[in-house]
Amino acid sequence: MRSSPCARRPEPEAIRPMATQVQSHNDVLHATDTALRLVNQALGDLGTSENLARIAAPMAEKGAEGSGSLLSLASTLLRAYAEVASLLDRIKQSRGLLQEASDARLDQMNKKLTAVTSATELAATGMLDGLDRAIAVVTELEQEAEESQDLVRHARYTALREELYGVMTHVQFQDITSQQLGYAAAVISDTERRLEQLTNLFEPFAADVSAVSNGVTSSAPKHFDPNAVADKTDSQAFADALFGPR
Amino acid sequence: MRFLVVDDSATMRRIIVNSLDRIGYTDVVEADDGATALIKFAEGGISFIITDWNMPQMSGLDFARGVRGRPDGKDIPILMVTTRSAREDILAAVEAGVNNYVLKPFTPPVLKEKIDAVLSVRAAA
Repeated sequence: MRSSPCARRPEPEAIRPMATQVQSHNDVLHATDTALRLVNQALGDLGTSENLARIAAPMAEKGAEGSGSLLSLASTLLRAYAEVASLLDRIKQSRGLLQEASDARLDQMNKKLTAVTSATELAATGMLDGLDRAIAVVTELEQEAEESQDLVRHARYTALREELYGVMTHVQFQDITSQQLGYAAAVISDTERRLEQLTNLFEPFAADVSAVSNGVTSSAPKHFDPNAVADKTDSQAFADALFGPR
Repeated sequence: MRFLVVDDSATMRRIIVNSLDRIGYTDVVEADDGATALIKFAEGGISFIITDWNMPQMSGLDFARGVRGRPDGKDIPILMVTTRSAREDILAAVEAGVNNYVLKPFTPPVLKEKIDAVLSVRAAA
């Protein structure tokens, strides 16, 4: 009987090894896919390298029963397990360190800066109080010298009073310093918030990476000048030119 | 002439008030931020404003805009005393209606010079 033209013909000898090869690749791909799914599941269920090793051991035994290439694959996957587990451990350690820095050290630093600002404000007030009292005394002495027509003493008291006013002017450093400290405190608060968001990324199901880089806004009121410095001759000249007689 | 001195730093307010006293101006009202200053300005009787820029609640720039937005605040002299030295900040102050600009730290003679300059321009207008 003649066979139908549609009937399956025996494959030529040249094609047969290739098909076997493709079949073998498909098997390997399938096995890899299955293994990766298991990896994924194991990573979800486990956190430590010890647990991972415990799970991986029976798989290695199974691999030993199979072909040489699958055994090699299992060995590679075991190494991958170990690497991933080690990475997870390090991430957990980093998370702990970040959280510690975020919770304790930065907060402490911020409090110290606030304390320094308050201390300088208090000191400045004390200096101004002392200067007010000193100026009052010098003014009295100046009047006495004027009444007794002692022109030399009068001139000295006047000069001393001017010096005291000059010192009072220098107390403006406190405002400039406190603005710089305010800026430093705001930077620390911002860093604290960013670290907090970063550590949250390591929490299960957290995946909003963009929040760390994009979603950070300082909640602290910004009533400081980050560029507050004492020497601004050029800028004052610019302002004078701008606001000069028009 | 009654001055309204606006600064969140008690130290700075005190230094400005002392400086004004030294140059002959003793009638001073104080406020520690722009919002409070607007209320004090609305109470009336203010002839000259000296304001800081960086303040909580309302900045000096917003305060200047607020004053200029009022019918009784269009012509009031405003002198800004601040640490902000960037050119764009100075230009922003001009746009907000500030009449002159002094950078901290300042000396009483510089403050007097700026006050006199603003008053002389007002008198000539």
